[in-house]
Amino acid sequence: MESEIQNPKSEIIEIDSLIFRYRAASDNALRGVSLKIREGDLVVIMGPNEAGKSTLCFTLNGLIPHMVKGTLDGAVRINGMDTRRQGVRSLFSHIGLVFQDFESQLFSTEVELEVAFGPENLGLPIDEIKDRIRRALELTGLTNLRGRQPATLSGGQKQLLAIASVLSLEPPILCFDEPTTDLDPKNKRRIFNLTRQLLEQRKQTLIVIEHETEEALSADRVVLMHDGRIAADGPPSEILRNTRRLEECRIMPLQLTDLFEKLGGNELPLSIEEAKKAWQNNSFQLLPNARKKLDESDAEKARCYGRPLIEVDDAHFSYGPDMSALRGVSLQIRDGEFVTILGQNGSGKTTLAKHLNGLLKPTRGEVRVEGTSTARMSATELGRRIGYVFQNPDHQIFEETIQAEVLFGPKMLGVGEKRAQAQARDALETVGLWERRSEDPFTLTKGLRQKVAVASVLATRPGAIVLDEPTTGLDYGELRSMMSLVKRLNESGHTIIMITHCIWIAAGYAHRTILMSEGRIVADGPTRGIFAREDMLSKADIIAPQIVRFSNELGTTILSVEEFLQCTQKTINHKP
Amino acid sequence: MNPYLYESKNTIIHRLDPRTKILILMATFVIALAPSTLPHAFAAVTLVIIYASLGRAWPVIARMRNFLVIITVFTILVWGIIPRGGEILWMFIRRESLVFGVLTAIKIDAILLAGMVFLATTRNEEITIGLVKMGAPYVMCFAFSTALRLVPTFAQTGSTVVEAQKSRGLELDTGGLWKRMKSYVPLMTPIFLVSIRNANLMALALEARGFAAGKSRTFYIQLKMRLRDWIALALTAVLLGVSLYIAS
Amino acid sequence: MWKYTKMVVLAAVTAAFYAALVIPLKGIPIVPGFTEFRPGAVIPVVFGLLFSPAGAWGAAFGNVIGDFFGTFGIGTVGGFFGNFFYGLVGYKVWGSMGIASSPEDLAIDSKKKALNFILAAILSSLACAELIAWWLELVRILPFAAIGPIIAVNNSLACVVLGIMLMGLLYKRLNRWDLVWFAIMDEKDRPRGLSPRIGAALIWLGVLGGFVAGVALSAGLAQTMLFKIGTGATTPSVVLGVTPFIIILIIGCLLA
Repeated sequence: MESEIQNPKSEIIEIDSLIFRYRAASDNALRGVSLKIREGDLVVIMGPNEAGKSTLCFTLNGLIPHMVKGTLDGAVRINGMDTRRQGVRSLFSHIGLVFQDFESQLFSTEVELEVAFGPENLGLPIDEIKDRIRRALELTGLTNLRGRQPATLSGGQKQLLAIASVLSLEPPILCFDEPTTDLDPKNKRRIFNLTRQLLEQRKQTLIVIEHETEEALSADRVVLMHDGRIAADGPPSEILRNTRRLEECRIMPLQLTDLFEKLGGNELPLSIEEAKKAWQNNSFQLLPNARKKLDESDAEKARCYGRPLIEVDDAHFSYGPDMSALRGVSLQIRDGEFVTILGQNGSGKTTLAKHLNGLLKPTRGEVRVEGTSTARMSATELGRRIGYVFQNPDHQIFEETIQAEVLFGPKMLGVGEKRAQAQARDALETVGLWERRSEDPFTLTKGLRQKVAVASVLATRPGAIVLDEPTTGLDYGELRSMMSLVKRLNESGHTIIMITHCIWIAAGYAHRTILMSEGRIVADGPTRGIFAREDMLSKADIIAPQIVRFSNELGTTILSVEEFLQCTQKTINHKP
Repeated sequence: MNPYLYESKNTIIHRLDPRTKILILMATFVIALAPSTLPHAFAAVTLVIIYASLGRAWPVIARMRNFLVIITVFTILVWGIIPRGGEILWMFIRRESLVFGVLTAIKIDAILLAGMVFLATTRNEEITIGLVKMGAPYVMCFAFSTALRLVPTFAQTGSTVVEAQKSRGLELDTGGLWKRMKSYVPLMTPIFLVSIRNANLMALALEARGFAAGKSRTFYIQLKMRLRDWIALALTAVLLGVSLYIAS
Repeated sequence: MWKYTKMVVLAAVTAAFYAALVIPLKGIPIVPGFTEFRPGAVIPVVFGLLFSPAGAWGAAFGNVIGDFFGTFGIGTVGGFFGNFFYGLVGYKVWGSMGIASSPEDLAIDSKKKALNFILAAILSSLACAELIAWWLELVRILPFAAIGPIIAVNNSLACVVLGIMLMGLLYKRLNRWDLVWFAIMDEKDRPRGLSPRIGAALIWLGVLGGFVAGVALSAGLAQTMLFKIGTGATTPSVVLGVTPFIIILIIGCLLA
């Protein structure tokens, strides 16, 4: 496992057969982790949810075992200091931690004060604090926002501020725990650029936990974690080519690597450039009738659509003066469609979605559901027709059991007891949680809690379901399971309208894609048509998935690995 | 969303040190509570009105006017029916009761106005740092200012939860008192659980940034008492003395 | 408790909840400026039981912040102390009324435990009412008899209707996440008085006695057997009559 030992850099983090169990848990969260990290390296840690990644982070600065209770075995040494003896109070200036949830990391009323907080605690002289604030704000590009209230910043800016407020401590080691999970694609790229800058300008030792496989490419080392253990450790070129191992660890392999592995290619590409070479070297070819086949299957789906279900007619909406969120949106959604809405945060996606089930009513224009204006329908009437699954399932779950939670909707809508029970059972069976109905929903993983939320909407038997970023925070395994559920619902007749930041999901599952930017629809059409035009995507700041860009270079837009496999012809291999 | 009363302006009151403003506020409470005659009470409220004008706090007070009217009416009513001396004016309401009611209403209004001026001219973090510099324990002040910062966040979480439950059919404004109070359970529970869980993370983030590190802490906001602060305090002391002298 | 970062944050969170739930209802006051119809009134008791001192401090801070939205004034001082004890009393008497076995025994899993909660909630509400009404009478802003019963009823109602359900939905989960006070604080730092039993008894005496005395003196019932308007006591005698009971309440809280 230990490659490139010839590198002379010294080891700044040493973890030695680390075992940890949380106070109330019955199982170990870490089961013997040993890891050495060299100064100045970028190490990306990947793995499914509950693999122990965050737990490992908490052990680095002594939060475990000093703040989080449990039993710890083994040792962690930071710069030679044993975390068991030193504790957070002396380690915090040596290793900075940034978490996924930026909201919980900001507690000041002004950007500048937020960044000052760490150095204040160090007891530094005021001029030194001023210098550090300036440097941290410059690195994160927040200098112009120094007087703003953190609460008024966008999600991406908040995460940058969380990073700045740790940078001002100027720790030799930084550890980011899924810094981009809650961000839109544009802000994800901003954070990735920042990590690169940190490496180049400050020779920072960086540990990043990340779900985005493409971003692991630039790491010095990739560590795979699974079940509290390290499953693989090596340079990205080696780890990311081992698609089987990645699948075992419920990590999404790069789509191009996956494709070539499944095609039986003898070299596995990681980038589009490599893929083009490999495609030629292997003499792969698209079937001559590939495009026709794809167009036919698209047309097939379109034939199943029924009558218009939702019509939006020049809708305008604003949250207040100068806070216009929709600026004239028109569209029609027919029964049985599968639509995704793409766009950056603040582009009006969620505002539009909330108009579809009457949570918001347009300030100008009209939204009609089955021909009736939402302005003339009660919340109950609309709730029966259009279900809405919110982004965070925890914003709605409250009952003691899963079953009671799912029953809540039908009961509120006045469905009789017996029928409500039957509908709840159907819904739970659909999402696969009927067996666990009497458990507390809060004992479930995030992925399953999201399914409880879907079930509680399904139980009211709506014709259409709106899903607002249903896959945020899920790992690859959970995500695929969620999407196959959504696909099944669509195939059984539900109209699906889904907001997502996950572009490959939009490409791979939706029949129709709507691109939004600044409160307007910039493109609306069959998904294949939209993804064929990368220039149009870039207008909404969206970059097509690797595999789609590759297919566009081949001249035919192909949206997923499966489609690619159906369309590719393997000619006989002859050695170059 | 910003529910706070503070309005960023450049007035002499805004520029005062928060400690000065806290002391003025406390003195105002005494000045407002001291009067036992109507003319004296009017004099006290006039002082507060001058203070409000100096701080250009009238837009904030205008926002709160309904509220002030209700309190005035209510106070007069409550004290009016509590029996005191004097002839009966109407039904069982006696003259002294009514006078006492009006007097108290004026005093309360003066106090509330002073509070509004304070909040309209002083930022939350200035209040906190002012309290710390006046000797309040830092950790407690930190908890207080964190709470101030969390209120809008929770209000936002709250509105998301309301939307989520509404779209599942929860109706908030129908039914009797009992049903309406019960409908708070599906709202409060998710808000509490989500926020408390985040609080756990916040505690970890705080420790990771050296909170409670035990070192002597630097304060980035530096307060400085200037000449205008001392003048303001001297003036306040004089007014306080005069007011107490009249009252005795 | 202040050396535990988690407790500090929980105090802040409790305060923010309390303020956030009170502000939207500022518009429909029952006694304008001094008390409103507050479903949020359930917070001090429930979080007092779950977070102990952090809950009590949170209630006190939260009330001040609630006042920041218009009612900041001399009443805020009384609100601070009243709400501190509103959050404190419940958890001080919880384990000493012969029903729950200890302050940590928070699961409401029987009718008797529900009764325990209702008793603790009503006692806390009365304590809160007693202190605030005493203060407002002291500074001659509102008569005890007008404000005391309104606060008491207001708070008790919110606690009884919402409290038991919320405790059921919150306690188990927070306990699992290690976010109740006895999972956070080490044994040696937990507040423990000399004699919880005697303390609880004194709290009951201080609250009930003070509240009854305050209302009786203020409404003039003590001086006359007949219902006769015109003999209501004025401020000094009400304040003097209630003060000893408040001292008993405070001693009780120190002992419990």
